Amino acid sequence: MGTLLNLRIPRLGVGPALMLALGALSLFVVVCGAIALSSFNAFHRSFDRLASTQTNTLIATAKLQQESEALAGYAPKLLAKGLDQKSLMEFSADVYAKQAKLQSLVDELTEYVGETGSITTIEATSAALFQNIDSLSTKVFSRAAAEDGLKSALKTLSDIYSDASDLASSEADTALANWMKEARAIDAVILGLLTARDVSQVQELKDRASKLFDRAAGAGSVSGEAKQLQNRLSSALFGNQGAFHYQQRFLQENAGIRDLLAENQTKAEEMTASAGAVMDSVRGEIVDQNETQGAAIATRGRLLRAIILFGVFGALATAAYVQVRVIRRLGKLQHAMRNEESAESATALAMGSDEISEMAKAFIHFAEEINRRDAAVRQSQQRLTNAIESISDGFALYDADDRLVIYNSHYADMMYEGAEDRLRPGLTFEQIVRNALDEGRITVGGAEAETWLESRIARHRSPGEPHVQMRSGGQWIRISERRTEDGGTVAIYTDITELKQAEETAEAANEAKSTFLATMSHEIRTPMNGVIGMSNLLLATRLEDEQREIAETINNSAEALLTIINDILDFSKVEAGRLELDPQPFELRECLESAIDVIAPKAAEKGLDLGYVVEPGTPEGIVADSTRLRQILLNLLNNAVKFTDTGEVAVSVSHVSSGDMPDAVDPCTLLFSVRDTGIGIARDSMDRLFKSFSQVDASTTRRYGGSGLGLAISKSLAMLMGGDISVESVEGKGAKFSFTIRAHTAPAPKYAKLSQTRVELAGKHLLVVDDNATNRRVLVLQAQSWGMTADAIESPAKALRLIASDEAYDAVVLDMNMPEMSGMELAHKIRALGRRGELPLILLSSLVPFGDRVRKDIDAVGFAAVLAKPIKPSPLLSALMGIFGDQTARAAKPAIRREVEIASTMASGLPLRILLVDDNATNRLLGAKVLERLGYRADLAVDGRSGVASYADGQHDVILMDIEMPDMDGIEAARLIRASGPHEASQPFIVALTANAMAGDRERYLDAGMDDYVSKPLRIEELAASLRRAVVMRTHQRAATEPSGATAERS
Amino acid sequence: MSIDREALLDLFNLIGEDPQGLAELIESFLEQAPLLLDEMQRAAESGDNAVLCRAAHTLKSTARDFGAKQLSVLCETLEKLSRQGLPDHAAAQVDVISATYILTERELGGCLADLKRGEWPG
Repeated sequence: MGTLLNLRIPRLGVGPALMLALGALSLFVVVCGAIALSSFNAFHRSFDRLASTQTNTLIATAKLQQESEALAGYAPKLLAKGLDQKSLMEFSADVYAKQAKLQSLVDELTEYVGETGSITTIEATSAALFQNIDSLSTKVFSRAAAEDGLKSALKTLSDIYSDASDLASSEADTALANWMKEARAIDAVILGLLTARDVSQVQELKDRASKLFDRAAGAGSVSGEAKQLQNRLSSALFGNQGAFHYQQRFLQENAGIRDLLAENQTKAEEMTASAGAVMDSVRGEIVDQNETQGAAIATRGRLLRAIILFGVFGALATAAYVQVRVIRRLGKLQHAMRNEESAESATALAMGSDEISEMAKAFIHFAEEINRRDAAVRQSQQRLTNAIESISDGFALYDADDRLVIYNSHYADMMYEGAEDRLRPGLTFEQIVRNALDEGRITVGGAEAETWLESRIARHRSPGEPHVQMRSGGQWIRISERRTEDGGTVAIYTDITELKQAEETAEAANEAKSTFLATMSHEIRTPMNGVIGMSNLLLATRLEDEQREIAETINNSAEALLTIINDILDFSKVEAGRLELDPQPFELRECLESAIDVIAPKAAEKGLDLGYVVEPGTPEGIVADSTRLRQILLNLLNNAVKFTDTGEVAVSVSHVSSGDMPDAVDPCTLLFSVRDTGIGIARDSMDRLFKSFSQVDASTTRRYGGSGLGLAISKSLAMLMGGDISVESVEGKGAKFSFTIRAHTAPAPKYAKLSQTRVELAGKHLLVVDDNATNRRVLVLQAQSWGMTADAIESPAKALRLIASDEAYDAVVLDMNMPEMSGMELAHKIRALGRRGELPLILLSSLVPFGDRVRKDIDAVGFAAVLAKPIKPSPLLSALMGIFGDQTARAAKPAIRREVEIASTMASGLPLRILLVDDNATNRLLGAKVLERLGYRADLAVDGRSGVASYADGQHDVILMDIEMPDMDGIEAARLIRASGPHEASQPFIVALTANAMAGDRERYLDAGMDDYVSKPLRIEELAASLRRAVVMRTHQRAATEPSGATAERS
Repeated sequence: MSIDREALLDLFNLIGEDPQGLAELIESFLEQAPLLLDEMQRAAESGDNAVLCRAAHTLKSTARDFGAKQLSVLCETLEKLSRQGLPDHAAAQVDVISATYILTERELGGCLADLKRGEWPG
């Protein structure tokens, strides 16, 4: 049985089955088309033939018939025609033409239907007809001739009768007359003859006439002439051209014509019959043809109907197949797919091997896979939920639309404590927070709730650093939010209430500590200043060596202690965040030098080289807090000197970068480095360096002292100035501390003057001899900045050789302390060279002032100058100018002329009445001198009260007002002057003069009604600028009040 | 050297490079400074911190003009301290300042002598 089933033709797949069905239907269509086409072709052929041949045949036959009948009709016409020759000829031609036409029709017909019997008959009949008509015409001619002959015979008879009568009358021949009488009887016969109808009648009449003639002839003998007449009569009657003959012929011909006519009639009928036969035959043929075609078309029609029927069945079968095998099953499959759980319902569909079964199998596989994965996802989701739930912090995930996706119970707890179930996924962050806010769950501090909410949402959308939120009930929550990759937000809420409390406690403690430190430092520092001052004072007195040593120790210890205390004070300020910068324009070099000056004695004591380089390109003037910058430098320099026993300490400054914008907008970055050749720092200690209370190790503290706060403070200061600090070091080889600050540039007039090329120095050739590379570099750079050329040499011996050779140096700068050969020794050797050695020498030493022995040596050598190290540009320039400059200019003139372009005629151009108020005589003198230089002679007042009085007297244009004065200070005085002025136009321009260059002071003075501010120490440019501003203001005032007439003839 | 030659040079330039004028100024300073120191001393003893502050301020500013750096710095410290009330050990501090002034006076006197001789101090 099984095998039998297996033998079944395999069920076709849906695709092949549909292909097959569609193929069959297509075939049906093709066959239908072919049949229809062939039917049409056959019909077309048949119709064509009908149109082209048979119709023509019928037409030709009809014509033929017509023509034949016309030809037949000629016979009667012929008889009717007149008998003259001409019309006969015409008739004949007509008949021939007809015959030719007939012939051509026959030919045409033959062409159509072939040599059929009917055609042959028509042809023969027409030939016979023609023959008949031809004969007829001949007979007609003959009859006409006979008629004519009869007529002439009768005429002749008449003539004869006339002649005979004539003769008879003339000769009176009785015989003749008798005869004549007799002969007259013949006339009657002749009359009969004319009416005779047939030949036999004529013969009878002839016989009668002949008898009558003979009787007449018997009636008399007649003479010759009569005889002749008789002969003539006989001939005219009975001769070949006699009347009887002609009448007889006429009748004969007439009979022939009658026969021919009858025959003609017969032939014509024959002809008609033949043509009819032809037409019948053609008609029959057409009918046959129609019948044949009709049958064929009918057959094809049946065939077509059958095929169409098959086609319709095929289409219906296909549709049914598609419905049952495809659509219904696909519908089931779709249903199964929609209801995922009913994968089993697809199992039935999967039985089979066609495409849909395959699809169903794939779907079942899919459904199983999805179920499996669903289970896995649910499991991992559960794990995730468990994990999130197990976090001790509140956790929530918001999607990119800020809708809550997932959260744990801690989050719900923190958000809606006591009403956790109100939190559900899908709520927006705004809704959640707004609700919490509305219910007073969040403490927003002083802020408006709406403003707070806005900023909270903004923070949520672009989270930054974690922030802290206070919930009502004193709960503190740290909120840390992060953006996820898909634009959502993860929020972690940590309850830091305890932490916060601890922090607050710690902060309070720290605050207390800082305050305590500040207070203590302050308390300690005050007496320390006393100790230092007094020990200094003590040192300035005459002391025994031992006493001096003790006093110095006191002084040094106090200084050290003060440094530590200052550090602590600074540090406490840093800690408390109270350290503020006071940026002012200053000259960088000055700041550096002041720091180096402080450290130089210590460096000199340890025999260290100390130098600084300002790299080319570094702005010389900057706006920064110079005190704090100096503090950092001092810290680093102190450390460097402290931890270095041999070698050098070098400071360098360079310009790292300026921003894209011009300096006015963007500050530049300056890099300061302090390098030493000291003990260095171990790698693992470097991290701790900048931390508070951290020296490298405790033993360091013991050995080197110090608070250990210096670097921490320096780092804080550098960071406050927009930079940072770092260190590089090789243990045992030294260290290099670098820090950066950001600052705007400022003019540096002093340095600008200092670094100009000097005519006196330009082109001079300088030799620098120093074992220290930093110093060599500094000296060469400085010499070059003044237009000199300079060689720098490390080795004194080589320098000596160079000087001894042809090298033409204009001066030599030599270092006192060199390992190979001391500067003094080198100087002596140079002098020993003779003429070549007679060049100016400048000695550099860190040991200034010298002991007596050295001083003697110096005098012996005859140094042009002795300069203290570290090298600074101005003493060096002074020394060089002393050597090369105008010798006479040296006396009573400073070596450096700082020309400030001040017009001493300023006063004549801008006349002003000026009152200078200062309680200090020196300051008054100084101010008066400076004003004098500008061309002004100022009134002077010794304090605020007398200032107000002086102004009341003098009504000055400008009042230069010192601030700090006894009794009545500048601010009060300015206020009084303002109050006394009647109106705007007469108000003076009041300029505050003060050494209090603190930030915020300026505003204070301007608030007090002052117009401008000039800081002490006085700078002439600044003062002149302020006076110019005064003029501008005055001009404005006058312009404004001119019409009122309150003019100023005062000036 | 307790006198900053650069500062002195600035002052010299300020008044139009007039050695005689500079000499006058130095003389004036040497006259005025002891008066101020006396005032400070009295104020410190009597506890008048306002006077102390102002006098310290004045001396700070003039001392700076003449390049007496250390003197100026000490005065500045005292000025700042006395701004909030009478500093502890005010008198001792004034003593320190007075002591420092002795050094300044000595050096400025030298400078004055140089100027009068027609030489640039140094």
